[in-house]
Amino acid sequence: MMEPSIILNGITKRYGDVTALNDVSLEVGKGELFGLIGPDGAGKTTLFRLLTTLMLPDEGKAVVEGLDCVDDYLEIRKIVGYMPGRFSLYQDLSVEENLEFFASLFGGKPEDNYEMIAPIYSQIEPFRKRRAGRLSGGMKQKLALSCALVHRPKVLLLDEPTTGVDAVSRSEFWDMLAGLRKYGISILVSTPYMDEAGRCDRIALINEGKILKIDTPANIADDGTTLEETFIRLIKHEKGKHNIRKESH
Amino acid sequence: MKRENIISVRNLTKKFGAFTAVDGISFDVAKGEIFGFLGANGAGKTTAIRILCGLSKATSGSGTVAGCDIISQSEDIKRNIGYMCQKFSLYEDLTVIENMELYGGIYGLSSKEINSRAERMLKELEFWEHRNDLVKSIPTGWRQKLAFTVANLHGPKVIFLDEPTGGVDPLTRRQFWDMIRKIASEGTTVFVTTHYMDEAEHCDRVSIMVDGKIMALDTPAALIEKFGVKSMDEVFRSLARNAVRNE
Amino acid sequence: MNRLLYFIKKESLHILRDVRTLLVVIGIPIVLMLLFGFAISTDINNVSVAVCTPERSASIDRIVSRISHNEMFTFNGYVDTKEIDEVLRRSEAGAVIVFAQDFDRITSGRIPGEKAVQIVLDGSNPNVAASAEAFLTGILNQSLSGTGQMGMIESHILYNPQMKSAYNFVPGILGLIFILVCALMTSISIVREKEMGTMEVLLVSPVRPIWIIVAKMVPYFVLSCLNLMTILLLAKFALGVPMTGSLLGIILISIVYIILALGFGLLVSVVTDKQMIALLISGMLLMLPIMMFSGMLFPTENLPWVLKPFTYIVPARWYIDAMRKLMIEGLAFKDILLEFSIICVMAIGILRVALMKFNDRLE
Repeated sequence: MMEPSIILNGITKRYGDVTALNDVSLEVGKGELFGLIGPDGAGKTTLFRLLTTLMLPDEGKAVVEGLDCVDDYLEIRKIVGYMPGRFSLYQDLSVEENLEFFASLFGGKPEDNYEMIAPIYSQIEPFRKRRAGRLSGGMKQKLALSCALVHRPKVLLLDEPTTGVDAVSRSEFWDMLAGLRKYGISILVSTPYMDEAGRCDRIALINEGKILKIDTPANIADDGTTLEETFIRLIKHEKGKHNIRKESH
Repeated sequence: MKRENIISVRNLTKKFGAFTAVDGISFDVAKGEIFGFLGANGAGKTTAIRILCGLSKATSGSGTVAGCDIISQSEDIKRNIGYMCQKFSLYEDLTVIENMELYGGIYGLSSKEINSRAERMLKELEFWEHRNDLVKSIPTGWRQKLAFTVANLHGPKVIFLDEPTGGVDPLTRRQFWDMIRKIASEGTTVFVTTHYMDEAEHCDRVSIMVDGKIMALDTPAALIEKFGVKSMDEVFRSLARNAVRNE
Repeated sequence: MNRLLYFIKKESLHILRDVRTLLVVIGIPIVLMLLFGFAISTDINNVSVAVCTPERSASIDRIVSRISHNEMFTFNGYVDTKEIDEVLRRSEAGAVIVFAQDFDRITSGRIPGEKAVQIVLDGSNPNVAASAEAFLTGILNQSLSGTGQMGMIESHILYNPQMKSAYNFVPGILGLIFILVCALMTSISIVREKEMGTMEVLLVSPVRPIWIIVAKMVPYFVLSCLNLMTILLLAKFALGVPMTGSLLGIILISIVYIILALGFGLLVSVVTDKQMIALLISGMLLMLPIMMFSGMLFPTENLPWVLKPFTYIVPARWYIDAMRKLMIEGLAFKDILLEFSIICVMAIGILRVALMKFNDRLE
């Protein structure tokens, strides 16, 4: 097992009487591309918000690069790059103004780490004067990723970066993530699309706040079934019988 | 058996100034058919669906939906179709049954009709005992299934589904497609868009739009064979990769 | 420091890119000033005058005929003492001249110490009342001058004893504008980031709440100073407000008041998470009290006693009071020290609360 970058240990998070995350434990190794796969409302976004220190867990402990998510939250904010579920850039600022601003938040300039973002940013550079709000879905996503990377984070947290993007752009996005491997950045990425699982080193299947399985995509496919079949079997097993659980967003 | 077309369009074109969003598309969809309407972001899918639903007027071309002319009878179209999309489906602060009463009322069903249909449909869905739950307390997967049921409440001839399964779990997705196949077998035409290429393989026929034009239209099996590939995903990507425009 | 500059640059870009809002923000003060200034200072004409006299006499008839020949006034007949209030209330007359019993004997000096004439005016339009009073007094004085008796006229203004005139509105407009521009605009600016989701990214960065607050304040502060300048220039040169008091005082207290208003806006946006709610709160909770309790529309002295204490916690009341003293009464800075210190304390308090309430998490 490689040295861990992210450790979640027995994390539980409730909103009122709704349990968003139920005793979640997982480890992401340094430099690993780890996929968190599950439907809407599974608790993926909550998990990201705990890791980005935007929320506090009710139980359990979360550690990012040796820093505690509760006690060392200001330190964590310096070393993570975060791309929330919805497009979170300034629509009225241009492409380069956005990049410049996000670099300045960390006290730097886009040029400082340009080689790392170059493969991604160069694709949208011809449009650098265009307002972010007028970019296409795929280009917005590239800009958001550039902004999340501009301060050379040690850990990259991507919450459903490919939702609502067409198949071609999605595939390109995964190529870009693969290209980041050489920099040793640990990447945790969530997605509702089963077909993207194969692009990850390891994946966790999550449903209704519980981790159902953690393994490499190859091992899951080794069972002789598709990932989707496995997921459906695990959901049925977990539910036992038909019941409706309250959940939150 | 004579093929009865529910949707039939010829040379449908929509221009926004100098930009041609939909560029002369023609196709037919038969009664009871599940028709997959695919295309990359910005290919013109949304514009085309808006015209078919009577929400937008075509610049040129002609067509009928559920027996109504898309240019002159756009208001009649709305009465004969159902529509469901991922983003907006049900009012969250109303209960399931209140949502159904509202939609039924909009389509002019009597309250007796609404009640009997709602009871039949919700019992079929095994959701009858939860009819008084607020929609916001219901899990996403269930919500999508309910939204589909509600869109079908007034017995439309054709139902438009715009990415109905975005973000739902695989089990629910499977159940959702079972529901789609069921209403199709009962004679309702299903017109569906999706980003999941495996779902495209569930359709009777699919069309793939690129830059405002329909570049491929056939059964999934025939398309896979024609392109000499293994899956719809590869068919789609080999077509969409040639796209010039990007929204 | 560099980071802060970038942040301020970004905030300024937001404002500059939204040209329509920017124009409204710059235009409103000018429109309000001109509206209040000129709509109210129009010259009076055709004020109807009624006369109330216990007895007719030659001298009284002479005065009445002078008034009816003046193009500013129309003589509207004689009324009884009991009807005075009635005709004024029904706007049948804008002014009533009341002659005393024994008018001729008083004016000829045979009953010393008595007032001979009283003018009762409808003050609901203060500007009209003020001019009418001046002109009527003039006419009466002229008529009485032959008798050698002065100071025999007493005038009363009903309904609006403060006699606000056109330029009396200027301090009120200032008090309102800064709340409008600073509080309303800033209250939206943070909430907008929450709604757009950009706040989430800001929080997951080393940026501290104090930076966000300062960066949001600076551009609106500059904008408000610009507004202050336009209003003062308009007041001085277009409306002719005296502004004989301390100019430094005017600027100092305005700056503190602007900061206070910015603080209010930030506090609102820190505690809400929807633009709509932020707008409602700053609209209802900030604007209404200013209109009602600051002395802008009605004098605070005229409020019912239950409401009077509220005026003390409305910052605009202190600001408007101080600005009246400086701009109109021409007092020095030392005369508004009380108001100045109260606004300073309020500004510091509001900013501290806003900073404390700023949540650097999402829950």
